[in-house]
Amino acid sequence: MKFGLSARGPFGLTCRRCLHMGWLPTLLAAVLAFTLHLTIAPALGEQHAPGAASPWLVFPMVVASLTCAVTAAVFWPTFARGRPGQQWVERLQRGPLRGSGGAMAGALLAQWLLTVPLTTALALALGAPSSAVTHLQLQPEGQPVLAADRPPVSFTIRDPQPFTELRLRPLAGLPTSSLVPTIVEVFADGESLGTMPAPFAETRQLVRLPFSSRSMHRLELVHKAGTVPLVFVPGAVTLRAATAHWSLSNGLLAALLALLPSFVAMALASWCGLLAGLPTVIAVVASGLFVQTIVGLGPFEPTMLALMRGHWLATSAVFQPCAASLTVGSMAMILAMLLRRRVRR
Amino acid sequence: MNGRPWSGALAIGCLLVATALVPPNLRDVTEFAAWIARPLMLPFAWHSLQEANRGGDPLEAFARAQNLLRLLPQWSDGHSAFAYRFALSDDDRSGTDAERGARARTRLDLAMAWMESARERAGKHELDLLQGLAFLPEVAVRREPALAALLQPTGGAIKITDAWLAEAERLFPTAAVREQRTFFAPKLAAGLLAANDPANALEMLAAAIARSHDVRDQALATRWRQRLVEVSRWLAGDRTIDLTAVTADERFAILLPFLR
Repeated sequence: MKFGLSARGPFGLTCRRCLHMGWLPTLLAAVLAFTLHLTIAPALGEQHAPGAASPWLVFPMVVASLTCAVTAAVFWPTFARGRPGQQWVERLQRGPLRGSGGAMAGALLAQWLLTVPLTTALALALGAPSSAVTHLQLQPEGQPVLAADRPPVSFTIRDPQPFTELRLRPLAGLPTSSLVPTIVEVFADGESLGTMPAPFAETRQLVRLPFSSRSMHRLELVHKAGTVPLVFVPGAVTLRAATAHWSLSNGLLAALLALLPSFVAMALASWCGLLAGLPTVIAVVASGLFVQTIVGLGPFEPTMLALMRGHWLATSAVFQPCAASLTVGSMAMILAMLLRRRVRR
Repeated sequence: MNGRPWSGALAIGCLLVATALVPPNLRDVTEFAAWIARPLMLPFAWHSLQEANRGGDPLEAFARAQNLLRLLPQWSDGHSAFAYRFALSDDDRSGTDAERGARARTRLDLAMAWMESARERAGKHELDLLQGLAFLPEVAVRREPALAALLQPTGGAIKITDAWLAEAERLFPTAAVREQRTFFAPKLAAGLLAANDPANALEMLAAAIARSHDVRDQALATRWRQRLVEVSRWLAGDRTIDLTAVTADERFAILLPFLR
């Protein structure tokens, strides 16, 4: 009964409208993306690079987001100025946004429902791993440079779970004398984990050190030999956890995080819609989504990459960038509420 | 208003006649599509490649590089640079020598196959690709010594290098290309001697002696030829040869282990 009532409000009506309008474009985009993935896949022999297939996941995701957000803007009369039926809805609909908030929530639910099959089934079909593993990025305490005349670079690990591999990808500086690649020894809680298997001579050179599963609280990188100074910028030191998570839960979470660009775009559009007509509102939605998805501003791109690479999404490294997007979207909503009152007076 | 259907029909008719006169082939259509897609896709393809270099593994970066260079098929330097980067990447040093060698072999094969596929569109820059192909196996063996044993059945990295230099010489018969192969002779001879194939090593040295007559700098060629003759005669069994000059010449350092 409650569902029936809510289904007649802005939330339910917009959700159904978005699902109705969005399923076919999303399906077609997914089929096209998968076909292109199969036809113009890079030549890698029997190996797979699922991270490189992320554009084929992003494409239908963006189509679903764009369809839902534009449908909501076109469908709900208070989203833009001068829409047919706007005055009726302004009088009948309660709430500071006159139903725009509910319409946005409905559009977001529809998008989530449309994109869950993409982040689960399509991602697997594109080669994403069937399980997801936490990749914990470490930030150095104090100075991040490792050289012969510098103290060790140390990291504190607040996550107590067991890890099985360390990945280093530092920036390399100019050698202090004739070039001798730098050898790094790794200590966990004061105990040696071993020397990195390859010395470092190039910037962003990736070297992995596998070790038997163990948890740790403190990691130290010690300079053993070499003349190349190494700089451990954020993202240069990663610990791979031992425990694997189910990829389905990672897919559900990815679909949830992919709602953020739509939320921000629609929030900005509802703000603009107080003074602007529908074409401007649609332009704001489309450009907002473009900047956050294709251009890569915000958490969408790292989320899709992490999903395809099999990195577990429920980590602070993924959620931290979401805070900025949530703040922008929330601020736009609050401003829209305040301005709507002023415009009505 | 009445003219619109006629103009539409006329346009379709012209299109059909044009298609019949110059039937489009798949390659032209692909090139046209790439021409349109290039400015739209390139910034994102570059961004993706940088992201793969920052957070992905070498295989992902190589796949992204392939996607990028699909938009720039004539950029031979780009093909060489990304292929070298992938073939020489060694992020995973786990396992035995044989396992590491096998992984290096796979990377080398993939990188060389990709470079070879780019030759078709490289045009006048094909020579750069051929020279890149020639020296990649040798550099890869230096990076991963376990790879040498896997290449040995096909003559080793040096033999592969010589085959590609020969192909470069066949397609681009310039003095510079010929001389590059001529001066590569000690390395090839060392590779053959390491593979316990002295007969072919002697034959190859004889060919290099003959080719030295074509070198533009004849003073240099005369000294070079003299060293080659000394090495050749010593390998043929003449132990009266004085190898002092050969030993002092750094270009022949790779042959010294076989001249004792």
